[in-house]
Amino acid sequence: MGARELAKKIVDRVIRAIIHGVLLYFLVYRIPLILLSSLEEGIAGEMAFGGPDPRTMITYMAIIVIFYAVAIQLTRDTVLEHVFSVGKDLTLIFFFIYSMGGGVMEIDIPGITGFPLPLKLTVDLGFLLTMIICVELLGVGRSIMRAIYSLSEEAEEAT
Amino acid sequence: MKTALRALSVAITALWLFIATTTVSAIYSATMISIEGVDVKGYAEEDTVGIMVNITLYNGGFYAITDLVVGSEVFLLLKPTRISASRTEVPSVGPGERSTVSHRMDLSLSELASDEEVIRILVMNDTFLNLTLTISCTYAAIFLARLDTNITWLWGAPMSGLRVGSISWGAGVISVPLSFRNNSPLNYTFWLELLDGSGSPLGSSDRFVIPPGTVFSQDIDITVGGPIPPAEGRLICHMLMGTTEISLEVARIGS
Repeated sequence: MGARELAKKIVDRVIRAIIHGVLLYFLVYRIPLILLSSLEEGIAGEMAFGGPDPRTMITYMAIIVIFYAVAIQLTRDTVLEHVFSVGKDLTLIFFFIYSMGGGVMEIDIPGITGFPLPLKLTVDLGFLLTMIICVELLGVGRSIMRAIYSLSEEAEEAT
Repeated sequence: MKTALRALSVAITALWLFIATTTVSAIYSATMISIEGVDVKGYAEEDTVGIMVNITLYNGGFYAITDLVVGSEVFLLLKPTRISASRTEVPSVGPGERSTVSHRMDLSLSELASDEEVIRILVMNDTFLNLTLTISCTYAAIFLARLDTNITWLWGAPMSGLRVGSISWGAGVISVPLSFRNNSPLNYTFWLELLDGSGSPLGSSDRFVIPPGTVFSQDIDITVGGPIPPAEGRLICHMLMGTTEISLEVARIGS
């Protein structure tokens, strides 16, 4: 591969990484924050979450997703692409378990119209969390299969 | 391999879309549920003091609320004991439906009569009680939600601040100075009875009707058919609330 081709490939990867990063920045960070703000204008603004703060969670999620998306695009067509892909899915599994409080979320509500007493809302998200973990594990499997496939193709091309 | 990988990618994308759609629509739907009114009414019947809570619920969301259960428990704070528990079940509130859940919490003195310490506290002491109200349901078939709240309030005793003065003895009659205030919403009749050491009745007083909020302060005479003063005796206060009778020892005589 000549220097010109290599430079073109790198520029192509960087441009792809930037586009992915910017798109995900809006999709995973800006839009959820706007939705959260509109929720906070209502009663949700007075709620106190027992677990991690939703704003912080959106920020962490955005960091994880954008970091891995950029890394995957920069290492495109190499084995590292699949390593980052598996890493993203595994990180997201732990992130979802942490952010959903292990499947049980507790929210303190100061009171609602017609009922002035403080309320404690407990939501069991166990089923949703199980579904997310299963889909992430499918993603891990897909990334491993992709890695095996691309390595076997490379080996075939070499012979 | 390529086809399998593509199929897997399509399946994963479809599953993510399903999860995202379900979650977003469930959250949006949940914001459309409203509690339109909570009507609380107190009542007193015979030996029972209770609260009736009517909750009007409007499900404006897309999913049904199922297995709706309203539960309540009342705890005595002075001696940590559960003194009442009740449960109301509503099978389902469909999308666009309005439902009124009527939940009744009873505190029956006759049901507590087996625990003398608890009944003594409730009859003679204005004490704090704690009510825990729980509403649980399944939403959109996959989310289990529970709403808890609790409130502490002062229980008004039927014989609040009961005091027995020094008992005086006459010819065939003993006189017991008694004072208390009925801070409860219960209307009842009471009388005193003197028992000897073996528990046999020696005599009883007249009956007195005590309406809610009344202060009672009077010397009560008991005609006794035996030696005065008895070597050993117990003064029992009987309370009749409707058809329920509660008996409590209020004083001891002799050794």
